[in-house]
Amino acid sequence: MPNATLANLQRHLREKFPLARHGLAPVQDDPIPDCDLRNPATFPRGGITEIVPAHPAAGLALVVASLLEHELPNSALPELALIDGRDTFDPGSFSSHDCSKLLWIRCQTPEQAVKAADLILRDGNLPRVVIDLLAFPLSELGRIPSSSWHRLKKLIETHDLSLIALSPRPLVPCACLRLSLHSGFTLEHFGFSRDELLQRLQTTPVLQRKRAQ
Amino acid sequence: MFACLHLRGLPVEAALLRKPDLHSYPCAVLAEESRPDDPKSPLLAVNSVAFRHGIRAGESSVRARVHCPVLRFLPRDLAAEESLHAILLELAESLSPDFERLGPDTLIVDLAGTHPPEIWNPPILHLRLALADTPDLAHLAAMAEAAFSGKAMDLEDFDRLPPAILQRADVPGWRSFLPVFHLWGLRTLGDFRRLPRQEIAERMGPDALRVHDILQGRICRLLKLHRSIETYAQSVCFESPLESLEPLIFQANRIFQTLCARLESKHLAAGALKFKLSFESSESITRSVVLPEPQKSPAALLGPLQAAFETLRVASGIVALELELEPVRPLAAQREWLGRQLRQPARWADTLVRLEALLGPGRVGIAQPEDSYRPDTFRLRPALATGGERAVESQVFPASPLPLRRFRPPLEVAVASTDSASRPRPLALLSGPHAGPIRRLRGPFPISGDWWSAGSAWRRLEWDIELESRQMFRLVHFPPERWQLDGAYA
Repeated sequence: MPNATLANLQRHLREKFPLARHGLAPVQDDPIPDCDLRNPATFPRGGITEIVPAHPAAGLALVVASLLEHELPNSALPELALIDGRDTFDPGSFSSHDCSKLLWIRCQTPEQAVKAADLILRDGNLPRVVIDLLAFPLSELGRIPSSSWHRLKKLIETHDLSLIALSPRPLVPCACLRLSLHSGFTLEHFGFSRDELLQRLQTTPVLQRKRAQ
Repeated sequence: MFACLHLRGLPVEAALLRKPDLHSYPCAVLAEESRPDDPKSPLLAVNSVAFRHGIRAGESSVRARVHCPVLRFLPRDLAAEESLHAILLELAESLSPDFERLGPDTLIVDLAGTHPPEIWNPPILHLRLALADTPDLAHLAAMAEAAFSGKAMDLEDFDRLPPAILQRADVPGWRSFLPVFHLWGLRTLGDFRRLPRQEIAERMGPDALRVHDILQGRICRLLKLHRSIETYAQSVCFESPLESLEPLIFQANRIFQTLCARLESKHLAAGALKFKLSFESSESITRSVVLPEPQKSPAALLGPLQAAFETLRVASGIVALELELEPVRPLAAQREWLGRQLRQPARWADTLVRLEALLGPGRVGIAQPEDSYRPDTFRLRPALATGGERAVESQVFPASPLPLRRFRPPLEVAVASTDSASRPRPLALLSGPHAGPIRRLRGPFPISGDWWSAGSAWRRLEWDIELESRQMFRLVHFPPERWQLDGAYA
């Protein structure tokens, strides 16, 4: 179907059923400014943020490092839960101080990851949860029913938490913010410090929805 | 107030458990090392019928036969003695947790803060219970033949007792001063109690003086408390196999009530719980659940257990359940005043247990990198609600600024490389999902460790490689010809 026809159809449906969008604000017409992953305000509370890499060397592994940057110092409790879909997190790539701020949940299958997310969000004790689904093939990820994401979204709204999903392609139908990560790292960047690499992380919001009031 | 539980002639009573028809006959048990045909064998214990015939423990068997020709000698039954002693201990514990074990047949219980029993229904025939104001008086009272009255014996009540009571109670020094009592014409303890204290000390020595003080009620010594070895395990067998969760949880709750009461009495809490389910098919499952925070209430233990039960799939009915708690000290640390607190610590513990039940043991926690250059070495410490131990700052820092996404297990690959046995140079990945020519690389980085301990030494060459597809990996070579991908830099 040509794009013009599709847009025409969408416009007609919007006019005929204005409530069908159910609280979701339309995608903003203004260009969305770049998001700084090191700024906690980037990730909306009560919603799901999905981060999708534009290419294999986009630096998605640095997202966890950026999230750990702005945690409270000197707290013996974890601030962030990492639901590691296929057990790929490498503690050796982080300092022990950073690791101590992270509750590591090591899963093996997408079903386990979604169930673990359900448990940890239902618990509501950790304000931010990251679910890493990058290592799964798309065929396995496609088997996660969209109702699971909606259920997780309801939990997030109830407890006013923040869920960040790292996925290889747009996967979360109810994401309130979807960021495309398009920084390109090469072997030359191994000579930089991690702080410098974090500054070079480039994200572009491709979807932004407002929460229903 | 103190109570004394005494089972006179415990070895005989134990031996008579197997021969109840001999209860009305005079019976005796010989000392363990004696032979029945030895005429000088001493009697270890006699029953009440033999006692009424004038036979006493310690007499030789031939002398006892002369006194009572119908006396029967019974073999000693150590197992039955132990079971009787266990009943005595259980009875004492039901009265108070503080008691002293004077011997296998005598226990003195401190009844302070508890209600003394008003009615006495002995669970064992001839088991006596006596109450008095001091431990030693209670012991003497238990040696008397008086019936249980439900109140403590007065000092005047002791006045009517014969001095032979001191022998039965095995009071220290009775062999020296009891003959003197006889010589002096002292027929009751009251006669002795009314003698002047100073004169007794001068003429009869400290042992008699101590007995005098006991009878005056002046000595109320501290009990040497007996603490039995506690086990925090209990099992139950079901008459009909269970096939649903509810009755199993109900039984587990009942067991937890008992075990938690035991923990409570010792000021302990449970750090982990272990359960064993036995099935009709004679199979069994044993699992252990580590609690993120020590718990001591049945309700707090039931949640994790139920979560663990829900993850099990059983093929046949459950015929037995065994539960064991690991005792630990309860948390005494004050929560952090300035640091962040969990919103709901109780729910946190339950969530961690559920996660562990979902993913298996050792899959949830806070990673602590080890102080080693060996790749992928870390330990997971539990995420306690109180924060628990703080992270130890490691001296090993991340090797690369871009975090590695590790393949677990590593991907074995075939690699085309230049011919050099010691330092090959990889050219292309020939197999695996990422096969292709290597565009750029960094390395090699030779790493080795544990070379000082035989059997655990390791050595490897590492490269950071970039493929034509812009993907970056950590490639590892184990001489002479093994290659693997440790992970990706995504």
